[in-house]
Amino acid sequence: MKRVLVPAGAVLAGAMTMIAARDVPTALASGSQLERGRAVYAEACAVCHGEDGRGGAGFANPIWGEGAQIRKFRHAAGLLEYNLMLMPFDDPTRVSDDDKLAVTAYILARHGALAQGASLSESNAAAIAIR
Amino acid sequence: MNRTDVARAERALVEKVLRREDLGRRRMFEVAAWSVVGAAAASTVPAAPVLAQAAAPARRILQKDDSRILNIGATVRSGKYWNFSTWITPVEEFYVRNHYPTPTADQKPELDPRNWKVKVHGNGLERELELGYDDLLKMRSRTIFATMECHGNGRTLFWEQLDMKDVTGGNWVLGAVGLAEWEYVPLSEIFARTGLKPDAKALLFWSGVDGAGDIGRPMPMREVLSRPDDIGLAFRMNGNPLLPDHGAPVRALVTGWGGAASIKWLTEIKVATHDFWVRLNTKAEVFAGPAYPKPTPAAGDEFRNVTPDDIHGPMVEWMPVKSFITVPLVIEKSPSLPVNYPLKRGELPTLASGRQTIRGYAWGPQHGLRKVEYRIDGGPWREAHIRPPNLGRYTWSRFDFEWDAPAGEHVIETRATDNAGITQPPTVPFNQYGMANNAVPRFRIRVV
Repeated sequence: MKRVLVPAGAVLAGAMTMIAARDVPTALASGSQLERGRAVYAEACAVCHGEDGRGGAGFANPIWGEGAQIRKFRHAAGLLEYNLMLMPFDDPTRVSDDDKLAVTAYILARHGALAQGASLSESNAAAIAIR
Repeated sequence: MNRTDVARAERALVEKVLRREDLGRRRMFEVAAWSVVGAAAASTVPAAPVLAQAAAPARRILQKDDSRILNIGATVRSGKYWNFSTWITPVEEFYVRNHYPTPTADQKPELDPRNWKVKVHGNGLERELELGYDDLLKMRSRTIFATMECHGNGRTLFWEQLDMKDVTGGNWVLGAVGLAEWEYVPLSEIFARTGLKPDAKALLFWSGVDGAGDIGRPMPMREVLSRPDDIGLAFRMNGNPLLPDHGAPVRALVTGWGGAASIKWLTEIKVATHDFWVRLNTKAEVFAGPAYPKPTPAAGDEFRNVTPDDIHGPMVEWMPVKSFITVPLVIEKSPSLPVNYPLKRGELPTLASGRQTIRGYAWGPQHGLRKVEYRIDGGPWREAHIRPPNLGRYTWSRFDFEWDAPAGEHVIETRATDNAGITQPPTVPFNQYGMANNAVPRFRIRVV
């Protein structure tokens, strides 16, 4: 029994040390990026944060809009980095980097931090303020 | 057991730990699901076509690996309490609750002991003070055996036993608690250097390096001054320098309170004549619910990255009296199942029939542990044997009892009582974030 667990732990540990080296992909065109982000949000995020971002089964506080948690990041680069590393909560490897970029754009748009027609990329993230 | 037997058993245990064997997989348990160690068993969301493309590579969130801890998600690891057997919890088995990935000296040079400093300041002090790591090590320190526990430990019971489905947060089960030997410079030593004004009202522990600059926690000075030798700046855990996941090089240590008070990667202590409002005493780590009136801030209070509207309830302080036996809880109604949980959803742990010794842990840091009781299938409460040491208020104790286990499904309950006569209740009031649930736990088990 023990022998089953130890290799599994070792595999996990090995996976954990693979620090992301590849770049976040360049932005998709804004409309399709937001559409993609909406789909990813519904699929991977809404279960915990609610369809409307105001709270769900996993997390009670709103993530966008009035009283939003994401304000603490002050700019989109912080939120993007957080999502790339830590979300979804149960398994951050479950969603691809492309999709994380898209869903971050969607969250920013819902918060009003992403101008209409604009898109999110790794290069412009630091310049997008979250207020 | 007589004294010699106890000493021999402890010695054997120490040797096992030092050999880093997989401890506590007690042979009596035939837990059938050890092979369930994959993410597939865990997700709250089924894998769906839209996400079926190549997944992102794993990034290093914590320094510890998951082999001896329970992966609750993102930055959160609970203890595999069903494997606990030692009185002191090995660091490798100790829970971790971060709000962000563990910062290390590689990324944040200010965490290198050669660079680390803590600033002690505020209008509640006579003088400011800045200390480096070497300065701290030269000061008078204490060691203390104390449990540390996450406020959210036992949140599982809201879902599994109390039908409070609206509670949110990570599914810690019961293992987000451990006992360590902490070495620290007590606040009394700090105050001896800074002086303290009589109207000092609150103290804030703050990390200037953790995450988005929103991690710190205040304490009222009346609490600090009630035990200034028991609260301080910790730099060793179980005899070794702190690991990054546990706050290296220096963290706050607030014995008896939930772990959130013991701010990791500490860089600032502020003592002021006003109160502080931060993330961890407003919209997290607070009792939010109809049974808990919201505190009201006063004019002149200090808000860091929150507003008065963010205050959802009173902050959690002391951890309440609790107990568990080393049996994994059945997870049936919880919104999530930890990835490396030993049981599938709804599965019962199994135990061989016949004479069995059931073991557990109990603690109550506010007043210290007095007694532990257990009952089987709703029968009469009986007193369990508390196994020494029971070293005062901050430590836990192991307990055990014998049970002639008949075949079939059974429920074992345990309840601890502290030295103030407070006993674990059958239920606790609803609170949104699932804090500090100390309801009597019900362990369902199948005897075969």
